Amino acid sequence: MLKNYLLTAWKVLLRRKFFTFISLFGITITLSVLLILSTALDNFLYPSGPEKNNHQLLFIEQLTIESRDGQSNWSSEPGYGFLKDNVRDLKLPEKITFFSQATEGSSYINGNKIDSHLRRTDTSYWEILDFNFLNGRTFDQAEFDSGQMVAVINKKTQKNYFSGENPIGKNIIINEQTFSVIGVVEDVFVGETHAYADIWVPYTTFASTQFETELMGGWSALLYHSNPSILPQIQQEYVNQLKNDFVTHDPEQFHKAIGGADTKLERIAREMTNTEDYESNAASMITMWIVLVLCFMLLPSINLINLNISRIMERSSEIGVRKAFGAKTGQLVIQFVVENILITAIGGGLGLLVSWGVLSQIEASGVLPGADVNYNWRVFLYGFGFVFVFGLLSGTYPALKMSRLHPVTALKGGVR
Amino acid sequence: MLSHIAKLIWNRKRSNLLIITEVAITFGVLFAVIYLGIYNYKVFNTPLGFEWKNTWNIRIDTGGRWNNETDKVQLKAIAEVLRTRPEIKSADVIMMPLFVNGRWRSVETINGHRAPYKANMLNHEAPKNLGVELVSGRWFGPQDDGQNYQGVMVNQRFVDEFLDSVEPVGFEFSDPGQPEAKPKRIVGIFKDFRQQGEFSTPGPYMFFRYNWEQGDSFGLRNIMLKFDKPQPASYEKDLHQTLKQIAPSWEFNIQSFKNLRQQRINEIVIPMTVMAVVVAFLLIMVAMGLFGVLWQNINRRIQEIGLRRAIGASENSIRLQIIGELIVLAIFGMAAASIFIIQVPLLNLIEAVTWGNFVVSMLLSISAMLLIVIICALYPSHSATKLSPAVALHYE
Repeated sequence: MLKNYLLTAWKVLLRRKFFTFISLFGITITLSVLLILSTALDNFLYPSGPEKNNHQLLFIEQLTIESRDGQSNWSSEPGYGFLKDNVRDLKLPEKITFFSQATEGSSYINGNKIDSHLRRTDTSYWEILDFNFLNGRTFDQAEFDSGQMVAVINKKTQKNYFSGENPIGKNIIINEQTFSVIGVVEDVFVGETHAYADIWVPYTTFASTQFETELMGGWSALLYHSNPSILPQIQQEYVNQLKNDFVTHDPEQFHKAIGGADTKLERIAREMTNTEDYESNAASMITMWIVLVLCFMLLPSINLINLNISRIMERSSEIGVRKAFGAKTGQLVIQFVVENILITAIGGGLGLLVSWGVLSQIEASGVLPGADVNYNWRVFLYGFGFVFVFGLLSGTYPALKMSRLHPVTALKGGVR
Repeated sequence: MLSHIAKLIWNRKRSNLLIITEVAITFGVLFAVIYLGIYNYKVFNTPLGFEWKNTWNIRIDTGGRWNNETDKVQLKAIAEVLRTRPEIKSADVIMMPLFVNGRWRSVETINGHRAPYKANMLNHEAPKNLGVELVSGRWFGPQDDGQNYQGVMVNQRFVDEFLDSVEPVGFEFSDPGQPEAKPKRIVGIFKDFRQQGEFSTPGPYMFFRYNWEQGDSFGLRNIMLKFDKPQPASYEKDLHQTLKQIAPSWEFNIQSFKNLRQQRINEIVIPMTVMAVVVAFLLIMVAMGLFGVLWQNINRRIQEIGLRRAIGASENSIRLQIIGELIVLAIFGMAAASIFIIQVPLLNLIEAVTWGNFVVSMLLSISAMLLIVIICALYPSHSATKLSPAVALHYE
């Protein structure tokens, strides 16, 4: 039965090539845009680089503090002092790391300036995140404790600074501090916001120690547990810490701390919905996304509905015959929706090709450092989802309208 | 003629409703893009109010909060050393740096009305060195020290918006919440200062004066260096070393305003371009869809057209009818969309939307929409006129 439907649909598509082209053009454009967005989002949520185990991670990177009178509040990344007093002693996480935001670092070589991103970390950072070492190693606890001037660099820095030669043991000067290179890692995609940097050094190499007491600004923490099902308990522990045992040295000004340890999705939600609460508002963000996608599909759908309606009339004699021989309304609706989903699927396939082309162009252009777009089964799943929703949106109404035709009028060649 | 067409459309309202909806949504999208385009073009061509050529910015990271007692001394020392260099024309400090997204917003109450504005703090030589133009009054300076007021400067837009009925120079604001604080007195008016760059919305602006001796509890972390000629990267290395020698515990980031400005422009232009490309494809898609629908409709109305031809309608009147019908449809769609769009300036939903821009982009999007619709109708109407009446009547 389905085979018959598909065969009819195929023949219809071939019959009026111009109309098929118009329909396919619209479908392909719509699905390409959606596929590009969802592939980008997928690569962001499920990175393939050092943060690939992010289902075992919680991120602490936003904090709001309130003064005792409730009049003033500040919101930014936490400071090192806050993390030391409030996060270090959490019991449930197996591993905890503190590290600075990636800051700009300047180096000068042969009269040229090289801009890079510099991140200062501890040692457990390297155990939690899975960096791909091309050469050398990371710093150990002894080097970290004694504040050794050592650095791990990425491949790009190796190319720019050492013209690709083996840099191990050589010196690199960043912001007028000299570091000895001990390791080289693969470039990290900028979307992996906690792993991304060009140069990583121990945070004990900071020129000043003022950062150690700061409550706000410039730092983040990752909490790791090998069993992802424990993560909600860790989130609860962190929130309890903030609610009940918040440690602050200036309780007048910094009285109350609000924030959460978020999964990657929750982290985006917190950022996009500007949430300053213990909860991250992920549900409302997902609803917002779905509404936006449907809004974007609206115009192409109406366009396709219009086209479909005018094309059905061409086939009114076919419908008349089928009806006269006893086909039920439901059967005709299903047949037409299947036909529509078929053409949407062809458009989806083309859209996949287009989005692949666009994304690999973006990747090659270097606009997004370290971008490495991956296609996996999830992207295909999104594609199927879009095809199905779009096909239903644009196929159901014309199908209903068609199936309601009276056989006599249909046989005579349609309605006005 | 028009009422006749309107009647024809009304008779087929169910099938036309979808086309009207499609036109309405397309019109909304088209209007939004044209509005954004016009707005950004105008804003981009509004003068910045300062010179950025051959100027560099040094951003300071003190590693923590600003410790005014020690940090103000160090900042002054750096500025003094830099000023002794012959190639440096001027070295000034500023709180909110140029060409970045960060801004400082504040609000005053003037005659019982809220007067929100953006503000900045810089040393008194800085505006002159940056090429800011003085409109009236005088620059603030050391003569404002120890007075019973705090000398501030505002831009012409501030005066136009909040102080058009009073003499602005010498005007004083006092904060009723803090009666013991000194009132702010406007000592001079400058032309403009669009700190966030070409694409920022022009608006009221206020300069506070940075006093090297007093410092500031929040701290100033940006030094602006003006050179007599462009400097190479090797100079930057030298500069970086000098800075590190004076303040070893601070970190410095040196950028030319040329680069910062370009980055800021790209931040706006790249997303706009992507959006414009997507919208262009959407429009092509809609245009092709309308074309297809219209063509198909003509085929279905062959009898009607044949009849009209047989009783003596000319080719032109057939063509006019087809195009006219689509235009009336488009007008319905645009009217429906306009009911929603007009709420934006009426209810002041988006602050930056002004009536002037609104009317221009409305006219432009109406013309663009009509153009698209007419192009879509051209071929189908042509093919309709080519039907010979005899053949058309023979249909079936």
